[in-house]
Amino acid sequence: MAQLQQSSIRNRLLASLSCDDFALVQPHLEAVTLGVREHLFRAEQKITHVTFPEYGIASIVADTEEGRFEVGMVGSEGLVGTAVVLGVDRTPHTCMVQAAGEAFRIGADELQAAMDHSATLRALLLRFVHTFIVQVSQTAYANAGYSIEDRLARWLLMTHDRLEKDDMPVTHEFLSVMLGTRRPGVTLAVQMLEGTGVIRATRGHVTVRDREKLEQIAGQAYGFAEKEYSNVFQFPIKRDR
Amino acid sequence: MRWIVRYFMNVRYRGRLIPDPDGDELENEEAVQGHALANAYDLVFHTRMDSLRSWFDCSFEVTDESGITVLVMPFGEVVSET
Repeated sequence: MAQLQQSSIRNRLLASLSCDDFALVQPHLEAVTLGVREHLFRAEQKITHVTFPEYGIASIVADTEEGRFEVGMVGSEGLVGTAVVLGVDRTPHTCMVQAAGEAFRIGADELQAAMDHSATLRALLLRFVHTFIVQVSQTAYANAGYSIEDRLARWLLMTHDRLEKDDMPVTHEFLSVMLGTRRPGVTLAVQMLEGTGVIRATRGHVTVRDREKLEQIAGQAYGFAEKEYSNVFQFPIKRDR
Repeated sequence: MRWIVRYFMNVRYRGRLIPDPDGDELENEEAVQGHALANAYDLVFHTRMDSLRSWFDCSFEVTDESGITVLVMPFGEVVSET
């Protein structure tokens, strides 16, 4: 099998590694597909691998007695399994694939060993952990202070950033989990946003029609975490098409 | 044998009907009543929505798979239930 070339990798973190750091992880990288609703790790179970999405989106969700809701999302800008980078092998959260795609994954032990060997590798991955903490903090802020329409706009923008296409496959049931809101509330919010012309909704799909206006609706619920990512890495989460 | 039926939680807001495209699987019409009440309760007390003047302007108009209305429940019922 041909050796994996760093130049062919889309994942922003793997692509940003120095040649020496990439050489450390490359022998352990395994190409995998990400199937919708597939679990990448489960609450309180050992995280066996850290996953670097090439395409697709993974959601970090909290399971509570009142239901399941999303606390953060990761696409090709980051990695799944931040706990491992921080030296912890399990978390109370669950990670499942929100949008199908492809990824490279590395065993948690192999990544730990590589980070122990390279301070620059650890530093790069920790910088991503910082940006992810900012994103999760913004989710808390949005949930506490913003309406369902604003939060839906934020979620659509974050998904749009990572999917790189206007048409997004999502059901209202799925959105209700992502937003931690009862499904009829999502249905109303989708209708209201559609009424302003920023999205078009058909059964199982939402299409972004006016991203700029969607950003206006989301207000300060969106943009803070994305700006921090750009500041830290010197490139935006959203790629040029 | 238990029958599971899909019920659609359509919402009427100030004369306008907002259809539920997905529906929920529930056992019977008695379960529909409890489900509608729980949904309305969470929306009224826990969900902020800018586009609605008041959640109390809303009603559920629940239909079954054949389109027959099985329940009409104004959201105001959550107040009389609490």
